[in-house]
Amino acid sequence: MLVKVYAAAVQGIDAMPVTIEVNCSRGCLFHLVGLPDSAVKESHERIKSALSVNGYKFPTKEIIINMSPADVRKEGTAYDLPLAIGILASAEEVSAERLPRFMLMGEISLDGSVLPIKGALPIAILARSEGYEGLIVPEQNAREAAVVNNLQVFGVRNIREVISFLNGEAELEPTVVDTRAEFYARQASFDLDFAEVKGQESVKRALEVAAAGGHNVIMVGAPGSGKSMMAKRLPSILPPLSLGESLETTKIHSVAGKLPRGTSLIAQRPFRSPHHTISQVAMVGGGTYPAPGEISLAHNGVLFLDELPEFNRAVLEVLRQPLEDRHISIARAKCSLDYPASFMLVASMNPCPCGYYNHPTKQCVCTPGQVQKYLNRISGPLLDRIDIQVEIVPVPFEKMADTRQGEPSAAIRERVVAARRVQEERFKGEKGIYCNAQMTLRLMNIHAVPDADGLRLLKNAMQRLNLSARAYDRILRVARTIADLDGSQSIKSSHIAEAISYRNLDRAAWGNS
Amino acid sequence: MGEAMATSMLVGKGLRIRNHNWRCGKLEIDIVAESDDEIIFVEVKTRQNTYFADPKDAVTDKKIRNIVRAADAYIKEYEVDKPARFDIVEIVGNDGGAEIDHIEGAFLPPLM
Repeated sequence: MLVKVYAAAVQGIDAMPVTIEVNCSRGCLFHLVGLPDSAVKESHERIKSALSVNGYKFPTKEIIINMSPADVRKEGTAYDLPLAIGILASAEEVSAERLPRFMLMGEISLDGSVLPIKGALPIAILARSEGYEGLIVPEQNAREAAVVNNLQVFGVRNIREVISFLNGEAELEPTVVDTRAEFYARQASFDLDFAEVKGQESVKRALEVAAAGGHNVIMVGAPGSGKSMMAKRLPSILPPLSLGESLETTKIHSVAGKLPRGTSLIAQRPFRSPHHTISQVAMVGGGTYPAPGEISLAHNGVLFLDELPEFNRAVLEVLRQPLEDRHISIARAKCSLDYPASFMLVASMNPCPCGYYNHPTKQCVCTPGQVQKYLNRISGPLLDRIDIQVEIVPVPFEKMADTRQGEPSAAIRERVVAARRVQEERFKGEKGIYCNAQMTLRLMNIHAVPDADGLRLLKNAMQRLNLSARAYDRILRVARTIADLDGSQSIKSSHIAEAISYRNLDRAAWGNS
Repeated sequence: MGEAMATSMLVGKGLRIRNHNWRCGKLEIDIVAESDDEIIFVEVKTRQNTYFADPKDAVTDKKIRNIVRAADAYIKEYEVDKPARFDIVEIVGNDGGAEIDHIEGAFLPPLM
């Protein structure tokens, strides 16, 4: 009997339908066609074992399985369940009556239990848009798939449950998640809070400005001065994720198989901090069958690069394009995919090889040449994309022993959200521009013009501090955000002055004194 | 000697023997038997002793593929509509005395 089972293949962050056709006829050969990769071919062995353990007979007839569309490569282990059900249905050991109304996916272990898969969320979105009544997935993925409404999602633990459900012997309980309630409930609870950071008011302020305008930041400071500590708290002051953003981020994590068990939507902005030994492919995504990289996993969140100069130079250079375009296209001979990658880059570095250049109490042992060379490891074009450069000085003992708490993240976040609202209003008519950091030159000429006092100050500072032309429009951009935080329409000299203080690395004097 | 012993054992188990040494080109099935609800393809392996390996170990991947191919041809030629089963009968010993072991459903058709 010819039976069709419906499954899906994940491509990029979307799924496409795959129909598994199984035909049983007289004979005893077993064929599997339709471009399966070796993991799919191995499923034959898993299915054989799973069926015999659970007391079902693997039919010895001529079985021909086609996975269509036959020109798309099917990879991974998630086809075990639809293949097994297709084989049983075709041999008439399982009723095929309910099959056309459901999509199924799942990996099977030798004892017949159903194991989690990657990409359950995009598959659920596909199942709904294709008009299926329900989706059968492993129990661990059920909550993730149940985010999609108007689709019944059934989480299963064992192949027996699926078989008795299809035979109409037992019903399955659909998984229901109140996505919104859960999403908003988990949005405000952070493990880390800025209130725990002692001192460092100027750096906190810089991070607040960065969060408000979506600016990239680099923190330069001696070892142990609290760079990583503060970066880790950054998501707690960023504006909360919207449902739409969360869905995008969850999709990427779902495809990468990085969602913790039983998660529905990701409620907080992701914070990714890859180690500096990371390869290019791990950073931007890729592989024979492309998978999302760190920059896509950090989508709508923060990518933190600790010890920036230690990263392989080529790895840092590949960041340039996604930083501008906010997505990455990965082209390989077999396919070309597009992953979103809109992230805020936060980097930290030591000021020099020994780490104590410009330190208030310790002596730096590096020569000026060494300091310059260390800084040169980061290319100009990359540094150019980092609006805020802030020096961070170790906290003195009196401050550390101070038991008073700093300002909590929630308070800072309120100001950030207000500033973002001003920007939303400002860039309403502009496509793809949401915050000050993304302003084009044309927009800067309209929105980021300082008043007369500010202009005079800027001119003075440019000459005195020997700032480059590159620094000029960075300063204006940041000054715009500071003015927004201040609730001011015009950019005043105080805003310009603060913005200038965030250009530490640009001063020609750096490394020469 | 081995195949005769195997045959009498299968008959003793209530199976009907359809063919001995059925050939399809260079492929061969030692015994084709039949029960009420299955058709059984039997590979007989005889050894003097098990010093080196069990007889069943001689049924290699390649051998399995050949048996399955031949069985497929058999089923299609005789239009058999029963599900197939693949057995191995191991015989260890010589004229003085032999042990016989029947492995039912020893393997399933592999992925072709």
